[in-house]
Amino acid sequence: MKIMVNGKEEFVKEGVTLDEVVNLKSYNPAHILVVYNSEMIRRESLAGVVMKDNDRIEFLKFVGGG
Amino acid sequence: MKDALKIGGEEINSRLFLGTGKFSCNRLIPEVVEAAGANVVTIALRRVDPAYEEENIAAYVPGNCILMPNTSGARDAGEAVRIARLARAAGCGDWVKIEIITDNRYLLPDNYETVKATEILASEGFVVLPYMSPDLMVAKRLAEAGAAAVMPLGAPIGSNRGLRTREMIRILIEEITLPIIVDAGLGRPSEAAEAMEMGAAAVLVNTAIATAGDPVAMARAFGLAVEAGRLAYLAGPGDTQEFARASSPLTGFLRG
Repeated sequence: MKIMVNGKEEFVKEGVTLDEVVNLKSYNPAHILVVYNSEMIRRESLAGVVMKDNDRIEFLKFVGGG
Repeated sequence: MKDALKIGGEEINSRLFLGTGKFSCNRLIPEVVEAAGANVVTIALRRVDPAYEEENIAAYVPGNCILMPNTSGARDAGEAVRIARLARAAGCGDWVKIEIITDNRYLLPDNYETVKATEILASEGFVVLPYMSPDLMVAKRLAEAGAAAVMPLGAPIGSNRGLRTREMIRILIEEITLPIIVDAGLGRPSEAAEAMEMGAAAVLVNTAIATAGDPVAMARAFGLAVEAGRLAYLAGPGDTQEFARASSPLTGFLRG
């Protein structure tokens, strides 16, 4: 099925969870923020979110800025 | 003498706000914050770039500081509001610096969209500090929209060109009751001191410190300058005169 990751289309298997997507990307959950369909998901809740077709995920982080 | 700045219900002890962009390494940041004596520190929110494994910058900001995420990258009010909400959901607190820019050459803010975003975010309980091109009518609109302070630019972002908008900022300080915080363009401590002598409530400095030969020493220099400028403002500078006025008595000369 198709999901949007940081604004780009990606294809994942049915039933995949959000923490599996994080692992797939090799991101360290301690260093990123995960926004699922406009909602911030806490690290401990990632495994409980099952992806659906057309879901939107944003992987974000705080960086230096003025 | 107690002279704390109050914004959004918080007492801010330092009138030097610090940006965290452009530092050669994140490890410098705690030292720079301490040298500057800063209480308010800005950060930005970005999509993760798989090419760079970067740490979370917020981890480098001392815990006693107020984190002020900016909305850089936003091109209109809607995008700024989205970034602000995400930053708050991520645990950044209620403070937000609104920064809405579509001009790529001078990075001048879009005042119109900034007023719109201020209104929305203030109504949602954010402490809103909008970055703006200094303009009296816009500053009034921002105050009406619920801004906690107004942050006019001194010169284009990152230009280190100083207080180029001095006259407009002077008018804002005179006419607007909200704190006026000079943000962007200050390149040297003397320019920060000048802004403070004029009655600015605070200044926000990033590039001038981050790109200095010794950022920690420059942070301290800015901290001292801001303190000196504030003290001079409170002390009340004497009048200027066109011609000389002798400082020593004009009687009792030892002549002849």
